[in-house]
Amino acid sequence: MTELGFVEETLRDGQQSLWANRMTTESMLPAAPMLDNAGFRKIHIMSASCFESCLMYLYEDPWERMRLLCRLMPKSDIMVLIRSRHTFGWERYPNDVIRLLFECLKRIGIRCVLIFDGLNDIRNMEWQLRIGRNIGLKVTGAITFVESPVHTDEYYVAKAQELMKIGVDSVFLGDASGLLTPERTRSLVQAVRQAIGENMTLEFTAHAGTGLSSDCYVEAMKGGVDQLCTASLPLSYGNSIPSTAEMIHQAHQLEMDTGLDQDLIHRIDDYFYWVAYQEKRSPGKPVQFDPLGYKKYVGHQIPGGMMSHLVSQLKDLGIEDRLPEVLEEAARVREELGWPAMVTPFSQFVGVQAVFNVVQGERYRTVPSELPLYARGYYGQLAAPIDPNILDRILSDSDTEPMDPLENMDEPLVSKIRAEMGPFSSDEDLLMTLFNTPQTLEKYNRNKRKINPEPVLATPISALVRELSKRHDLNSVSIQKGSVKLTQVF
Amino acid sequence: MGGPSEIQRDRQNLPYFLKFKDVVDILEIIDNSLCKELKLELGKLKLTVERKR
Repeated sequence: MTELGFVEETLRDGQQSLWANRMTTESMLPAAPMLDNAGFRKIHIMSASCFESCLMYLYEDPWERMRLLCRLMPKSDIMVLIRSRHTFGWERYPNDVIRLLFECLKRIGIRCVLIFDGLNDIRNMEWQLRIGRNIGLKVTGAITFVESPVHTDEYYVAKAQELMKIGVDSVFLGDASGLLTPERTRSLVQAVRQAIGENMTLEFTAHAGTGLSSDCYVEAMKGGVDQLCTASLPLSYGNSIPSTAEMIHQAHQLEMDTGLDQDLIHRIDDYFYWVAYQEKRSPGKPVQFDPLGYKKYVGHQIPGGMMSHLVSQLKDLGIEDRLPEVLEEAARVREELGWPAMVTPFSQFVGVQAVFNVVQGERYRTVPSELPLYARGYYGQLAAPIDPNILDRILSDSDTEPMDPLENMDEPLVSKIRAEMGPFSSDEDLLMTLFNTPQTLEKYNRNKRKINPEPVLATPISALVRELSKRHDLNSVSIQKGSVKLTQVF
Repeated sequence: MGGPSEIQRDRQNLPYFLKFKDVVDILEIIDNSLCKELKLELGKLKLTVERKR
C-alpha cells in the first residue's frame, strides 16, 4: 500500500486563512498532545503574518507560543514558514539576521523551515536553505503557483531543479490563491515529480476558495505527491485548505495508507468546533465551483483578505461602485508588471496601482514608492519583463539602474543593532525589535497578556454546564444521564 | 465521492457520549429559542432548561 503523509495546518494556514490569525495560544495548547500523537509528518505553527498578528492583535509573545507548542509536541517535526529575506518582518534582512533567527528557532524546538519567495526567485531563498541545513533544521523549498501565460510547467520544473541543486529535504508546491484546476494539477505534479525524482519528498497544498482544491488534491495523490497539507474540519475549506478527514477518506479510496489515528483526528476536529464557538469565529464551509467567478478571479487574482481592504478603501473614497472597473484594471496592471504572484507585497503593488489608475483617470500618473524598486529588481527577478512603455512611466522620476536583490546581504546587521539599540534581554528580543516598528512594540509591551501554559481541557459536559451557568436569563438547568441527575437553580 | 458534509456526519466513533460539536449545537438551540422551558434529549442525555419568567 502506498503511504501518504500529512502536514497539519490548523494552527498556521487554517487560522490564518479563516480567522485572520486571531486564534489564541491558550486555545491551541489543549489540542497539542492530540496533534502530537495523531501521526502527522509535520505540524505547521507559525508564519510572518501569524507572528505579527500574535503581537499586534493578541498581545501575545509569539516566541512563547512556539516554545509552549514545541514542548507539548515533542514527538513531532514542528515547522515554521519563512517569507523570503523578509522572514518575520518587513525589511529584507541580511545573512547574519537569518542565521540568528534560525538559531533561535532551533533552540526553542522548531525542527523544520519552509521557505518561499513571492517571485519564485530561488536566489532569495538560497541562504536560508543553506544556513538552515547547516544548523540542523530540515529545509523545504517552496514553489509558489501562479496562473499566467509565462508560468508554464517548464517554468516550475526549472524552479524545482534549482532547489534540488542547492539541496533541500523536500520540495513544496503551493497554490495560495486556489487557482489550480484538477487538469493543471495533473500535468504540473507529474512534471515536477519527474524533474525531482522519486527519492525527493514532494509536498502539496492548494487553497479552497474557488472550490477546486479537493479535486486537485486527488489529482496530486494520483500524481505521486508524498505529503498533503490539511487542517482540522472547522479550520478547513472557505479560503483555507481541505480537511484532514476528507483527505484520509480520499486516500483510502485510492488505497493509500495515511498512518493517521482517525479517532484522534475526529477528536481534534471536535475540539476546534469548541474553539470556534468560544472565540466567536465561523468554521470554514466548502465553496461550490463557479466557472464564471473563476474566470473573473483568474484575471486579477486579488486575495480574499486584500479584497475586503480594497472595498473599504473604495468606500472611503465614495467610489465603491467602481470596484468592477478596479478589478479589471488590476488584471491589466498585473500583466503589465510581469505577472507577479498575488502575495505580499506584490498584491499590494498591483492593487494600489489599479486604484490610482482608476481614480486619477490617467494610468501610472502616480506610482507607489516601492514600484520603481520592484521594476529595478530589488525584490528579485520577475517571471516576465515589465511592459516597456509602463517601465518608462514607473522609472520616469527614479534611478533606472538595475538592482541586485542580494546586494549588501553579507554585511553584518546584528552587531550594529546590538551596539545602537541594545542591550537586549535575549536574541529573541533583538529579533522582535528588528521585525517590528517601535510603535507596534510599544503597544504590545503596554498590553502584553501572559499566556497560561497549562490551560485545562474541559470535557464537553462540563463545558456545557459552565456555559449554561453564564446565561443570565435562565432560572434552572437540569441535566440527566441515566440515574445521575444534576439540577442547577440560578 | 464522500464530501466534507458526509465526513462531518461521521462522528459516532468519538469515545465520549457528548461531543463539543453537540455542546455548540445545544447552546445555539437554547440561545435562539424563545420558549420558557426547553427539553432536549440527545442519546442518554436529557437536558431541561427553564427561563426566568
